[in-house]
Amino acid sequence: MIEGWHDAACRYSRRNRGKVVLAVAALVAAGAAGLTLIRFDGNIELMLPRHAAVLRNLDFLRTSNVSGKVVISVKAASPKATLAELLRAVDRLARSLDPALFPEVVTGVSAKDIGGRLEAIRRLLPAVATPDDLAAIDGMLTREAVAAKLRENYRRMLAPGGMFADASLRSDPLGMTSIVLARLKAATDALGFRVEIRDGHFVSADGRHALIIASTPVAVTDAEGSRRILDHLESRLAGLPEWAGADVACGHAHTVSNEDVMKRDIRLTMAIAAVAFPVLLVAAIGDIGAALVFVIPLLAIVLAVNLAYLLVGTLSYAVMGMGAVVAGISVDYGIHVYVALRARRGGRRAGGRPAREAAVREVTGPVTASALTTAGMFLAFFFSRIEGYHQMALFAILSILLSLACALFVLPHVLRERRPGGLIAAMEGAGWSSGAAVAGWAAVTAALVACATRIEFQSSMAAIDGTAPAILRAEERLGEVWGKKDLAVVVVEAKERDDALRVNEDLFPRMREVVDQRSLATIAGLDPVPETRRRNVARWREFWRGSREENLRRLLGEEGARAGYAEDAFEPFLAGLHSDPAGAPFSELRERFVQETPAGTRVMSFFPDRADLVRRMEAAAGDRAYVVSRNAFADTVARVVWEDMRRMTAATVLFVAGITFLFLRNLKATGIALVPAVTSVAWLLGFLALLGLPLNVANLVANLVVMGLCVDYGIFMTYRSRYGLRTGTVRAVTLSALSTLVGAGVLLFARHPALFSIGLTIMVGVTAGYIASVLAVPRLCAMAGLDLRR
Amino acid sequence: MTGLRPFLPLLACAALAGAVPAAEPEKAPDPLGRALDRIEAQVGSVRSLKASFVQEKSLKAFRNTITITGTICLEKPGRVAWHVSSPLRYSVVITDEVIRQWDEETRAVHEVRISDFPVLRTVLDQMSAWFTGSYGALLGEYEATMAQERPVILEFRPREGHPAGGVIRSVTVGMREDERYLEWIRIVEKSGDSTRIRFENTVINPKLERSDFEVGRRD
Repeated sequence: MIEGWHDAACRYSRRNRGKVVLAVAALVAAGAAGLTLIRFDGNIELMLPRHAAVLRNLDFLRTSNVSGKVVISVKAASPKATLAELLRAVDRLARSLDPALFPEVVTGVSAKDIGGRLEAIRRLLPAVATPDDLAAIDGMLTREAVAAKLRENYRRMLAPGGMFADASLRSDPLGMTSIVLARLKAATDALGFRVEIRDGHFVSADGRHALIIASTPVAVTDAEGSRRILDHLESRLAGLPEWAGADVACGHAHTVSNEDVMKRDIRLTMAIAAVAFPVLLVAAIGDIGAALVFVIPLLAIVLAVNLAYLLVGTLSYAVMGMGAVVAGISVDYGIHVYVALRARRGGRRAGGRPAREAAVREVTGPVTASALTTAGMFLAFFFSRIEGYHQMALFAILSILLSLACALFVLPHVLRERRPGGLIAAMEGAGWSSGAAVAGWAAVTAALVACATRIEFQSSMAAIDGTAPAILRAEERLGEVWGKKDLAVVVVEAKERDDALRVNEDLFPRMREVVDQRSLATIAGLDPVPETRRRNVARWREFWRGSREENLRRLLGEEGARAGYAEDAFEPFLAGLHSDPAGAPFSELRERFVQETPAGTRVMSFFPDRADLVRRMEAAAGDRAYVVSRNAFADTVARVVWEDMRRMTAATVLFVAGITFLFLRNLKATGIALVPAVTSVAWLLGFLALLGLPLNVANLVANLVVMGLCVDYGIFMTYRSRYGLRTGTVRAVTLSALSTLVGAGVLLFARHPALFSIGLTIMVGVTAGYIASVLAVPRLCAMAGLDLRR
Repeated sequence: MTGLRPFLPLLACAALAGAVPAAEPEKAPDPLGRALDRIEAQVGSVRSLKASFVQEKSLKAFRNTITITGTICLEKPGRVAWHVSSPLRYSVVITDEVIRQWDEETRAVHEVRISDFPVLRTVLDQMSAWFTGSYGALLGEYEATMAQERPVILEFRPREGHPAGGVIRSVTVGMREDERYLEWIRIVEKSGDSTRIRFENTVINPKLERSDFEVGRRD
């Protein structure tokens, strides 16, 4: 059937050669013009799986005021620079930041009106005191406890700092305010930094660094916006004095760095490929005219990019990163046609057709089978939950089909008659496939399979993170200076603010069971909802009603007199027991924990990001809240991607084996045709294990591509044996493998670890598949009685 | 940590975040400026110091004025030891990184890392400035007037909006005749409470022993 279509198409293109070539040229020109209009998407979310937990985490990172922070650590590099000079430089830098990009810039703590705030914190106690707090206060009301406390306060007077302590001594002699202060201190640790406060600024313990924390509305996943803020920061940091240096830490730097590395790699790999392919033409083929063969995939890619963009509306940079690989794959069809034409050159007619057409007709079946199996392999990518993979698959399938069409229907009309030459000219007749070769192949494969049992799987996405080392070093330095903690977040979301605060309050006791209060930063216990406040105040007043207050007054009088206190020393405290409680005196703190979103209100509580705590906190939160953890997020992504890989691999095996059988229509032949694909997997895993390299998400995906490629070699070599093809199959397979190795080999120059990993995988896998197809397949066909040539 | 409770209220303010521009140091007018310059020059030559002190605290919370005697040892850039001998033995030693204290009643040594309580640094910087005579650096936060020229008596009042203004009304410093150190310092709080510390038997640049900076030292 395929040959029939091919005959019809050949007749048409033979009669309308000029029109066909012109049409192709016009399409390509339009495609090239279209490339300038296409906007590529640097959003890394396209390369993350669409899984409920992943999407929720991403949405939080995108919309929260936690991830949108940019941390700048300014250092006085010169020992001559004073702290005052450092802080002035920090203030100038903070003032110079564009408010549109950084609407909020924090350099320290405002300690204004300390006395008023302390009083307000003390007056807050009735509104936040829980039954446990009241039980603790009850323990402070015994004679022994009161006497000890008053004596302790007296000792405080002896310290140099005691000169500022009298106000709190009279208004809070028993230190009840410490209940609120402890919660406040834990809440401030939400910053996660180890800081000192000097002159109202965040300063490091060594006094040589000062900190700026700037909020930005630009999402971490927004590559363009991230570049804008980093460029702005760079220009502002250039204004620092000579003696000052700065380190910046933010998620935006990772986004931009990954994109820059990817773009640089794409430019470099394309440039190398542009040189390497012509060298291949001259050295391996000895015919510069064969450059037309290598133009086909480039033309197909140009058209495919435009078509894919029209169909999906956006394309990821990662898709283009695979451009060199796809070019290396889809050039195979043109190679087989070219080699077939060279093998049957001359004007002799066969079966009423021109010899050239007859030659192409002979390879149409295996070339089409090869293209469809490779397309089938990419079809398996649609079983993944990663949108970027779908784009990649669509782009690759379109490129492959367009390359196939050009190879079969356009190339024969534009190639001139030439004698075969170059290094591979003599390969066809070489009898490399022998019993010894098969034995050697089997032995090596068995040995590598044994090694492969030691392979490790690296699930961490960090393995394929292309962030520049300089950025990671800056973050390390920052962590060393400021002791940055990794924090996970319990997130409560509700339409109404009070509902979200209420749920957070309800969860507070459970959160405290998981994490010690000192490590739990939350607004719960500091800013209760109105009904909780009313309940607490009523409980407080009930607590002090009756003899408790009288008893305390008597104890303070007696023990106070004994310790030298004035008779009315504690009147401010006793009067304050019945004053109206204050509202929470720290609206700035509230902003750290409560965020308004388009969907309502989000209340956040922070705790150390440890796997065991995250698990327990998720159990404690139930379905009323969710936990966002950077570490757990990476594990979740890796787990979901691994599940996708299993599905994709199963689909690949099904499609590839199925399509191969459809063309070969023989189980034994199908099995033999799959030998190179199986060999490629075994050798890849074995070599990775030998080199001590782990399997990761990137080379798992590349492995699927390799399987699709190597099954093509198997199909051709099996076809050659089964149908006695005399179309230069070995030459074509060799040239195909070489061109794929060139296309993948350029990725070894890539800095991005994902691209490098893909390049290494394809190099090893294709080499293995080629060796198996040339050395083992012919002999296996002969052993199975499928060799027509014998 | 109990003896460090005075600092706890200030820790609350670590919750309150806001940009605070560092104030540019103010230029003091003459003759105050001349006096400050002289004092800075003299005090600048002091690398260490040991003195007895008598501190009188007039506090509303107490029936009588509290009189505290003891010894202060100071070693630049950042070591201070405050040893109280009466009314009860108490010691606190402050270095750049830790505060250690001891008293004869609990007989326990309590230690706190300053980095664990960020606002402590603010308090300690203030104390250090008053005790080491670095008054020029305080002019950004306090208005200074010269109450007397010889020997120098300076009065400082917190500027509008300065954190200390919530607690302190004024700080008055009386220098020695040779202006190499304080003779006395008086702090009047907004509440009306006051503290006066008089320094006696001051030795400038003595060789301080290790034991001078150990808590629990007996005079």
